[in-house]
Amino acid sequence: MNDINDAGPCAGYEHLIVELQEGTLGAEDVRAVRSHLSLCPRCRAWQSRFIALDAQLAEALPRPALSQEFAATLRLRIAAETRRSSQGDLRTAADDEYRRMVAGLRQGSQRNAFLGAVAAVIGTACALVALRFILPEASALLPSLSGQEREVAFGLLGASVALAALAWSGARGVLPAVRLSP
Amino acid sequence: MDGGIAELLAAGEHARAFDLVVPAFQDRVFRLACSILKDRAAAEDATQETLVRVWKGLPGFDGRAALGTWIYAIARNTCLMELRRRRPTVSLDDPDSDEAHRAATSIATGPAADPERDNLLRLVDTLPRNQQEAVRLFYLEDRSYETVAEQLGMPLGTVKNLLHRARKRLMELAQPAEVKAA
Repeated sequence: MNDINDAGPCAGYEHLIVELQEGTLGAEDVRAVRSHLSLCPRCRAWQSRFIALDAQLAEALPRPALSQEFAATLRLRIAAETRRSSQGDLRTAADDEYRRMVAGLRQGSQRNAFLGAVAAVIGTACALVALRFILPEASALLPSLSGQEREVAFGLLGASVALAALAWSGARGVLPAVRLSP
Repeated sequence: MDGGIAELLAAGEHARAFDLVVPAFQDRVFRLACSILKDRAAAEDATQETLVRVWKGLPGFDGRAALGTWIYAIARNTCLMELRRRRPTVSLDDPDSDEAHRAATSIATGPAADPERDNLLRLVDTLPRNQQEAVRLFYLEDRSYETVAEQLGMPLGTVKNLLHRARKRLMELAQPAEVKAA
């Protein structure tokens, strides 16, 4: 008795007996294994022990089930994740809006600087033309100046007006490099 | 795929698809977690975590793998992270470790004071971890090799081999007690 229990099945029959029990053998193999089992007490003993173990395992291993609260807890977690995700989306939208605003302001500053420069040039030109009519005394003085002196005088005058225009632009904060006011 | 889930995913209806995913997979994910973690409460937490990750990942699920394969992979990773978080240096394969003992007793929720059953569960706990997982899952999943293979992410032949070795080992371990009783 002990010898039979101690011994395994005949070579090659271990898997066949398992498959016979699980119903996965072809018809021809089923006939062959059954025929062998009817003649071999060692394989029959091993088959009995296998069947017993299989039944014991099926019965003994616990079959836990999810708790009653599982579905509700999952819903709460998903809702929390959804909120977190929505907040993340809102934060992203606010960041985008901020970036757009900063870009807009930067564009506006550049436009203002350009317009300021154009205005300075136009203002200088107008001032030079106006000087001839507004200051007749100055015009009367001009012929007394030689050609080169006259050019220097007009150049200095124009440069003064351009500097004044730049200072005006700087005071408005449109020139980042020359920020005269806080 | 699974009862209209694929169609909903293809249509971008991720929330509705998730509503179908939960009832279709929660019990199997839970049983997989039980077989790996051997702790009912921890398995339920892991199932929650898995489903939250599935919810987050559904919009990016490209359908290259089967949905079940993808979900079970997430579940296995979640469980393995939980095992690492618990005791990173202790192997569950060591049946004498406190962790293995705690895990073995925590899931034994069947009838108390059944020495034969307790002995069998103790023997199962002496098996290598991959064999334990295969045995537990096989009997939890009504002896379906295919389901176990999908859940553990292993080829069918590997699962059959693991189970065969596990049950053969259990028969060897259980034998002395039977012989003594006889």
